[in-house]
Amino acid sequence: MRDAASPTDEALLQRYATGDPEAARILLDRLAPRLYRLAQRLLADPTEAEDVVQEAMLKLWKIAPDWQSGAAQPGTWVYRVAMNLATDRLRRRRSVALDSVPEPADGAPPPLQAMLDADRGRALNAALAQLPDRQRQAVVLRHLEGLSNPEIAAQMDIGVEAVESLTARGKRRLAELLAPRRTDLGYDT
Amino acid sequence: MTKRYSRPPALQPDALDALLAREAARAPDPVSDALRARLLSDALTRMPPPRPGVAQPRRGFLVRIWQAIGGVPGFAGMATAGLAGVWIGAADPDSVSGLSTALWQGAALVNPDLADWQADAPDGFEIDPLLALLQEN
Repeated sequence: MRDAASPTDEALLQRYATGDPEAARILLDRLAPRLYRLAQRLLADPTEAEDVVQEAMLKLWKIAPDWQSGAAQPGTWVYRVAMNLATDRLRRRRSVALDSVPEPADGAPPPLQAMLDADRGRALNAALAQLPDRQRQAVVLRHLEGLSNPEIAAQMDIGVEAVESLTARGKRRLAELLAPRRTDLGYDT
Repeated sequence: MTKRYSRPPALQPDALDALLAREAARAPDPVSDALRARLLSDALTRMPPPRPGVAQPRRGFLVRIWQAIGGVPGFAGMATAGLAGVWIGAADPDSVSGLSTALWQGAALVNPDLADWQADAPDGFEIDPLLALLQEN
């Protein structure tokens, strides 16, 4: 978090554009962790998430000399870039149609059985990673990144009703994936 | 006999919402050192050169003093000179006067005569014009 005395992202970007390497260090330490977490949540792949962060930050460095003061905060701008890059990668994935993967039938071993020692956050992220891409994207953007349904609809290029459906299905599936951890997570009282 | 698992009841919606809210509020972890190094390398490679006339951030007073004396090598030289000065100041004066006496006595022993210069002069060298020139001036 930035305190009142520290320079704004925009001031740092302007300093970077005039050749100040210290500004680059401060700015990347400030922005990269949030970008990486966003990309990792959406893609559920550390390598791809790192590539997205690197690509997004490159675009920021590139635009720095031409940055229009007062238009937007660099943090917001690069966050949007990273979200777009991750969305593009999700669209390009040519694996099986993950939304059509059948849910495990009764009798299958609990998918999170091997992660009994994980904490709540890790359990949630592990469950998120098992969601189909579009469900995960909708749940992450709505419940973890705080976007509105219309914003998510625009980002995913679908209707608001489709967003609501994806979010509801994603949460239902999450609740099932986390079911074996109810006691472990302290919710089985 | 096949072992069967019964599916446990799903997590309650309010419990899931609490879990999501907790995760949403969590501060992001720092990126790995390797990723940070890549990002920094990208940034510095593409950084525009410093613009003439654009004030660079002022460094602290002590940092500027440190740079003015030449950093570690400069400081080491100053420290050595300082210690030598302290030693000279604190050492027994006899040893210093003994050293200067030895130097001056040695110098006094070297007193060549004009004839020695002439004897060692190269062939064809005449000393008289040089002496006349010295006397004129």
